[in-house]
Amino acid sequence: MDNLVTVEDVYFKRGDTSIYEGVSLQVPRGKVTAIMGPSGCGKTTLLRLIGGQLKPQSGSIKFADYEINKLGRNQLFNVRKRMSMLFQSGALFSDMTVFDNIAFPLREHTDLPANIIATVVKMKLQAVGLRGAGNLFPSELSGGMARRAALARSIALDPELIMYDEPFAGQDPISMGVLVKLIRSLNSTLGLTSIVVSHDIHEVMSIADHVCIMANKTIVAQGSPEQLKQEGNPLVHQFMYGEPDGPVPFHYAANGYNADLLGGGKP
Amino acid sequence: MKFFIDIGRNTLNTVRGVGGASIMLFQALVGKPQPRKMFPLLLRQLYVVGVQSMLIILISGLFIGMVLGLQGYTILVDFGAEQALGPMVALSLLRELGPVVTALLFAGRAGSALTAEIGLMRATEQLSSLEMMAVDPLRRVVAPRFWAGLISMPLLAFMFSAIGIYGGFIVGVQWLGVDDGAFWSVMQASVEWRHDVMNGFIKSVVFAIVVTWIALYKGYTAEPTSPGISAATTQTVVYSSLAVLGLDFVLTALMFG
Repeated sequence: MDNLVTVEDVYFKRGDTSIYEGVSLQVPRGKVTAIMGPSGCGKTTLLRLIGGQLKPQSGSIKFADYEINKLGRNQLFNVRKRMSMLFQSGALFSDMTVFDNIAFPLREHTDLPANIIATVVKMKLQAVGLRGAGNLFPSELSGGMARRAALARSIALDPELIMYDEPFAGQDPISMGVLVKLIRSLNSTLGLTSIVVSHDIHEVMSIADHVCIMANKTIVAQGSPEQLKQEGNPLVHQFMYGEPDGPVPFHYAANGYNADLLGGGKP
Repeated sequence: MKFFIDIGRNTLNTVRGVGGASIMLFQALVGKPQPRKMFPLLLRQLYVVGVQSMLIILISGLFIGMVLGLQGYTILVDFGAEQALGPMVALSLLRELGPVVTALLFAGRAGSALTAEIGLMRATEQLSSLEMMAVDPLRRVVAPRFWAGLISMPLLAFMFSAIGIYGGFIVGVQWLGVDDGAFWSVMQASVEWRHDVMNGFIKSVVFAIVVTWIALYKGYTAEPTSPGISAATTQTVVYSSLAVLGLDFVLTALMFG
């Protein structure tokens, strides 16, 4: 299988806290790859590593033919024109209208005349259903609309790879459904490769071709959604079926309950 | 023992901070110039950083000049030297108060705003998203603000001195009755272009670099949380005020000592 992104044996530390110990995964070209895992396991960090905003202590991260973690600053900026990222907050520029936000990467990286830029922007807005909202400022958009506007901006330059950071977090069921449909349809119509970081299992499973489950500082399982449902690993099972207790304990590590209660009421 | 560990750690952190700030400024300013993209951004920042600071600078300058006129007169009149009021007001403003008070007000008015703005851009992932769009936030966000600070502060310092001298004139000549001709002609005779005006200008350029640099660095490296941004804003005002006052002593010793 042809992989657009390959992460190999990555170790990453933030301060003294180890985030990854030997993470390896593949993102097949032209597919939707989901990265799931309990909150706080460093899923977003993985996207930042692929985007080159963070550098791992060891291991390699390949995008197309480039080794991201070895590129210089200028090369990195060049490679980033071929990828894009949808941030959890949308990260629209608050001092520009939706239209200007989407035109921004085009104006920065191309010399297209204004009327062509306007046409491209309108097409992108049409794709996310916001052609009528071009004149609004980000503060006037609902959470779901802001995320769609940010999605239009991230496809403005027709990237090869698009990374979604928790695209469904805090969305109502309708906008969640819209986003699920958009991610799937953009992936097939624009020939993109998508990485979706999320823990909304049902939504993600419905659109993903390839799923990686991350826990305990590494990838515990990867494969197609069907393969993972059959997976014997108890941790994967707990995650996939949302069981409250299992290998990921319900209780934060503590002394024995009885000893704690009878131990004199110290906090 | 802990004392020595703390000294070592603080020294290392300071050196690291200065190094990081230098790298940031270097990466922001050095590179292929893109005048077509930079000019509109610079104009906008000149308006935000410079023009919007004018009111506070002009009002403060007027009052400081008036106070100088009043205080100077009461001292000089005892010696029968009230004709020297002109040079006294002009020299204290051009050499000291103009650059220094402008820098302090600028740190409070524009520096804190720069820090908070950039810190919030980091907190809302706008800087990250610029990076991911292959736009260097140092060139796009930091550089125009730096140039705007560098250009506007010396101009503001001159406005401060000019209106301050006018304030001294109002109080000294129009209110307290110092001779009009003496006020201006003694001032004209004793203020030198290079020694007084240019040295004041050099001071305000140095302060502009320091204040804007601290403000931008503190914003750019602010922890992306509400307490982080508020701490960074406070640090901008505190550090730049201290740096301005300390540097002012050094520069004064070099120029007039």
